Amino acid sequence: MIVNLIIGSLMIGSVYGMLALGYSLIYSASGLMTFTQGQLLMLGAFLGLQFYKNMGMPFVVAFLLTVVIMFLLGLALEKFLIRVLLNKGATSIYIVLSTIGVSIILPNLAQAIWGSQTQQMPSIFSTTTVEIFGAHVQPESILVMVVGFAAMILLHLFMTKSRFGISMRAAAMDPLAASSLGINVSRTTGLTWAIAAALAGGIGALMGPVYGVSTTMGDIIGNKGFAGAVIGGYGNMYGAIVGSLLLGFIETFVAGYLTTTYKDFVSFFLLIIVMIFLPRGLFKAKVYDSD
Amino acid sequence: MKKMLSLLLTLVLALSLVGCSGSSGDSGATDTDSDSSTTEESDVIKVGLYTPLTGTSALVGTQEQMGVDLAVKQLNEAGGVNGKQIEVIAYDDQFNAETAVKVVTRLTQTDNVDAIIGSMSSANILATADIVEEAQVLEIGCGTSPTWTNAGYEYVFRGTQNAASFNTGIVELMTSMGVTRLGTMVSSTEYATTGWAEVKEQLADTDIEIVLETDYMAGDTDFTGQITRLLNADLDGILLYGATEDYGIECKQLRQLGYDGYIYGSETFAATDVREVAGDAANGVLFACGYVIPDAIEDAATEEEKAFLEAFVEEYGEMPVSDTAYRGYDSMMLLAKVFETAESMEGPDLREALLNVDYTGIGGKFDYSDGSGDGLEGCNLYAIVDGKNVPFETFLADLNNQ
Repeated sequence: MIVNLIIGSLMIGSVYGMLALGYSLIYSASGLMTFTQGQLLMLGAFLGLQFYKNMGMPFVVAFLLTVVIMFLLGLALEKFLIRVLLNKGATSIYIVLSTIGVSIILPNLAQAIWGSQTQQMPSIFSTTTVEIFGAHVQPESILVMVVGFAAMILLHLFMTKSRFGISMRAAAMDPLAASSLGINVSRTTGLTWAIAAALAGGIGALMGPVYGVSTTMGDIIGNKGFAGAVIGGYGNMYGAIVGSLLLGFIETFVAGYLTTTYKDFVSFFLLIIVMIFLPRGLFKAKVYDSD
Repeated sequence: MKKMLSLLLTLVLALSLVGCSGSSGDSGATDTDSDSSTTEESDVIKVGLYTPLTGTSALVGTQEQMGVDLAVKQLNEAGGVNGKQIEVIAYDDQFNAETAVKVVTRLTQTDNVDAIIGSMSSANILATADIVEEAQVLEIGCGTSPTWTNAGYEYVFRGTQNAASFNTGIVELMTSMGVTRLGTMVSSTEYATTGWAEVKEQLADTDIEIVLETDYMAGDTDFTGQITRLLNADLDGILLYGATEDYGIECKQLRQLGYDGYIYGSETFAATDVREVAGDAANGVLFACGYVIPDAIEDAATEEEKAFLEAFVEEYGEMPVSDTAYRGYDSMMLLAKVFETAESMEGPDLREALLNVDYTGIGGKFDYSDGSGDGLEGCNLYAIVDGKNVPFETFLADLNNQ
């Protein structure tokens, strides 16, 4: 039983983690909040479905194509909506409102293109289950975990070792100083939105074979990814991962050992407790604006 | 440039409001036929429709609307009813009682519809029943929960089977299969909790022990915790009670985590979606329902069903995926019969005509004469074998021959 629960927790935790990373990246780079991550996950799942099932491409190609398109969509979102609003002097609440607008448009758009029916995405692997320590696990679930963790590690290396990643962190810490050193702050911010969209869309495409694809699949997951980011420390990349994994473990183990009725109650109660007693999250992120 | 940006922003906000408010405003109303503002009121019969057209239950709501629209098209092409064309004013209730109250108030007080075809959401029918009663507008609801018939309402009727009969069917399935230790996974929706409560009550008179009850929130996608507990409870049957969109994922996860026993369930298993999403994992599901959509037109159970399916495929180019299309179609055809036979278009006369209606539809022969609000009785039992819905009797006979 415990193996199943651990694997289930790691899987759902890494899904939340990929979304939470997006929330945190955007916040740390620009101080802005977005509420589109869940719907970007849904869109990525539909794109994966389109390329893999409807157009018959190999899964790897479908997945990479989805990630690239989502990356470009993230860039476009920042350039044609967020940047435009910022240049007009909009305060952050208007940015939040616009992302909520986008989060409502995307499912309606997906419904218009692919319909409201939940669609099945064929398995990626020929075997339906693999056995790990006596527990039956779908290979796609393991793939979600592996890709999730790989993305987290790659992102860590990108942010700490690459020149561009260091520029992004510099731009996030002090945009004025960074731009005086020749860093294109607008471009680095755009890139964070693109990475966030690619992470969400990529994990969405991977989730398709496990959960099926529907226009509402991102609603609750998006909220939980947000909760994971807050628990870890909103704006802290590592906090987002740890917070999300913690949330995944708590809700799965609560459902497994205590109560399924109050699984979400316990999870979100924890979120409120963290906000009250650890307002900066587990990783003590800078949460409140100083101005 | 600034104008362009303003335009873009306005567009974003306008679209978001459309998505958000669904059809509670003018923007969401879809007049099936001519524009109501240009049509003389006396020339048309107005039928209101409210059901989920967006969100988690959009599939079933949209299918209901497609059934209604098809019936209206057929009726209008045949010259209408009493020489009048039928006009449908449809609103999205967003599977939300608050929105349903708004749109039903609008249908009865602003649109002044002659009759209403109600939501597939029983909670929404229940939430709006008093408004319909007050306005004395005849409503035929498409939800299956037992809560709103036999409840003293004068104007609220059901255009499909009462889930109470499905619940009896589920218990029959489990006793026939010799279940002794049962576990459950029930959605938190009104439909599922009331349905399960009824099954539970009936189980008290059997030898079936309820070993473990688990539940989940509508919209959940990961059931590892629940399933792990169920697998450790040494069960010989698992009952799922929830929505179509839950079942496919639940079956898949149950099988993947190692459950190879029978899965019992409610009528929402009849939607083709479940088999599409679950694939082989749906084999071994046993369920009770009113209608099951056949895989091909020629497999239709009755002439009425065959004629409906042919017309549906001709109109929409595909088979219905949810039996709510049947419910919508039957409800609209029932109303047409009522309009034809009623002494006037006033609510009390329409009600009287429905109590005496003589209509045989896809669901069977409707009889509302007892005043309970229900017009159909009984249910059908099915098993999913090799990805197909097979009558339970056939399945059981094959099982005994093995």
